Amino acid sequence: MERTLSRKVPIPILAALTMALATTLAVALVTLVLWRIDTTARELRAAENAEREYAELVEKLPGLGEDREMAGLALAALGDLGAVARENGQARYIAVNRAAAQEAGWPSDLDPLAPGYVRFRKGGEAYAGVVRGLGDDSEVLVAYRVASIGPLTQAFWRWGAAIVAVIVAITGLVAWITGAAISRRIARLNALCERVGEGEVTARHPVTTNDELGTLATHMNAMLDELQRRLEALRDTADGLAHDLRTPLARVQARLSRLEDLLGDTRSAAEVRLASEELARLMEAFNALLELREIETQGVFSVQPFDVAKAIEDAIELYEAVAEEERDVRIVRELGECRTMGSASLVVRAVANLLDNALKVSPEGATIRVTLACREDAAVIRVADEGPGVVTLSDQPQRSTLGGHGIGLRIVRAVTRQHGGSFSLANGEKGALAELVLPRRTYRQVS
Amino acid sequence: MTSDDALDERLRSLFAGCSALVLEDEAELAGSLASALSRHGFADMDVVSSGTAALTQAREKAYDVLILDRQVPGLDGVSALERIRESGGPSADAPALFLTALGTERQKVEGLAAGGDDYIVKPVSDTELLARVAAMIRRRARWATPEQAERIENGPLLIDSRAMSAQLFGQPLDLTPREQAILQVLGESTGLPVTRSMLWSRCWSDYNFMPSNAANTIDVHVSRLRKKLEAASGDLDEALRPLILSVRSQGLMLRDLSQQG
Repeated sequence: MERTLSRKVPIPILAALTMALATTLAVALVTLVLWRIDTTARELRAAENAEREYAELVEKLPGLGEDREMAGLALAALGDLGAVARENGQARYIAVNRAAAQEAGWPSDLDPLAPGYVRFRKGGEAYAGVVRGLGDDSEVLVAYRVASIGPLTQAFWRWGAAIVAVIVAITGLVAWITGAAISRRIARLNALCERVGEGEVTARHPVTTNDELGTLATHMNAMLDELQRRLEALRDTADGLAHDLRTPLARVQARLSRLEDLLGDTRSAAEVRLASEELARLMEAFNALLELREIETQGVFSVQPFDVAKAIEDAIELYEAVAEEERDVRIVRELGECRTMGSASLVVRAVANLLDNALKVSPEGATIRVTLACREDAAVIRVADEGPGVVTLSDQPQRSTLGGHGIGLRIVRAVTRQHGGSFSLANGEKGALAELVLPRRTYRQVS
Repeated sequence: MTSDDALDERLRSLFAGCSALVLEDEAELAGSLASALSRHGFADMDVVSSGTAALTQAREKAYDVLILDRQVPGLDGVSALERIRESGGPSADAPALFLTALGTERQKVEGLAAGGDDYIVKPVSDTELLARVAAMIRRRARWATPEQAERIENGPLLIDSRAMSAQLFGQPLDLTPREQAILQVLGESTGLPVTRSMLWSRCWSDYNFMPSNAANTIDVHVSRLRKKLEAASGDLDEALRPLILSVRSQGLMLRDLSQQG
């Protein structure tokens, strides 16, 4: 996979940042709209003032009204008035446009504001007002400077900024709290998954809500119920199988032993005894298969901190005496100190199986070397023999040797898998070298 | 096979007048079980085929031994034993042995936790069954007298299970813990056969599995123990050597030396 899981921002922080950003954007948008409304309102106020001014001018200068004879004079007077106003920088703005010949001060960028009103900019200031025609292509413009933002509005903006900051902070906080709550619930679901992964199939998540996470928990519980049901069905099947096979075998054994008694000390009795022994071997293979199933279907049921060196010593103790007395084989160990979490008894069993194999292939007088190296992340157990080594490196165990090498190694593999480790079998310096790597886990990782 | 006959005789005297409750739904197996027990001295045997019937019987009558299968109709063997132990009836404290096809570690633990004294996985030979029943009855008898439970006196052989020591003709034996345990288990059943699987489950109880070479391991330890006993045997009658002898197909037995000085 090219893409690695790189994003490592905790959900609460992510939620808080996202929410704060979204709130900021929303507030900015609202502010923009408010500012537009405020501007328009100020422009309209200026235009209304201009309209009133014009009405007053109409009363004072008859030329603007009914008396067309006086229009020329009135326009001239207005032109002067406008010039004076511009010179003095008055808020009032007056300009005339006589017979389409624009006089000085007539703005070039008249914009319609609302029906009957116009606005324009002049000398960096905004104006709004009215334009009235006088019939003979002449026009009069009366306008007022648009007021700048008032003190009230200024106060509003100032407080508004503080309020916005508080809102953004609250939103962020709420998002963080909500995110943390969700994150905690997800963490609990994760913990559940880990417990189940460790083999605690009966673990369930308490469902207290019916929201999405509650539904997820319900679904997970249902899935786990199904998983458990199937595991139990598998177990029941094996139990049934054990019963169905062992009961008739028990009958056969009972009959053989009665037959042996009846035959007394004859050759036939010896044959019956041999048959009994074969039956016992068959049972042994069957038991090994059941044992393997038990290890494979059951999680590490007794996970505890344990001393790996001690587990190896326990396994060696099972074989050392036999190896020395019967085969003159020495078991040499170099065991470092190492502790990890797991099932000590399963590890003893795995190492015992490795020793069993090693002893089977060891020639008389040979040495079996057992080492334990403690790495930061793993305990590495090696069993080296001086036998013929691995002939074919096949990952598949030989299925034909029930109870022999095949099943022994399968048990080793099953135990390794339960501990999340790895197992390999290769040729060493003299014979075969089995290597069992158990990852070292802390209590926190498995609990 | 005189030694085997003598062995049968000893079992018969141990089991004389004993009663057993057998819970087994397979008629043929139940029959062969009952006949093996009665041939070796059991006087009274009740065979039931369901857990509830076992419970009813055990509430009414005091048995010396309970032999229970697990997979039986109705109440299973484990629950039946739990109820018998709780009932406070006449058989509430009787030694109980599970004889079942379920033989995983977990299942054995279940059986022992429910109050079982021993747990055997089918199929089982008569020798094994009788040896286990005999050991169970002996053990119960020893518990009745606490001072006996810790010291086993077998003629010149003294085994002290508390001090983890043993001596023969007054000479302390230098035994490994494993050898001491073997001697103790054999000593508890002096004169009676002890099977290798019994030795394994008692002396190697720190291992919860039986490795494929268990029989070899036991034999090596027993032979070392034999040598140490032999070295300390002094002027013991030749006829009584070795002290630990092999009996039947899979058994070992510590000779009864109580007639010896």
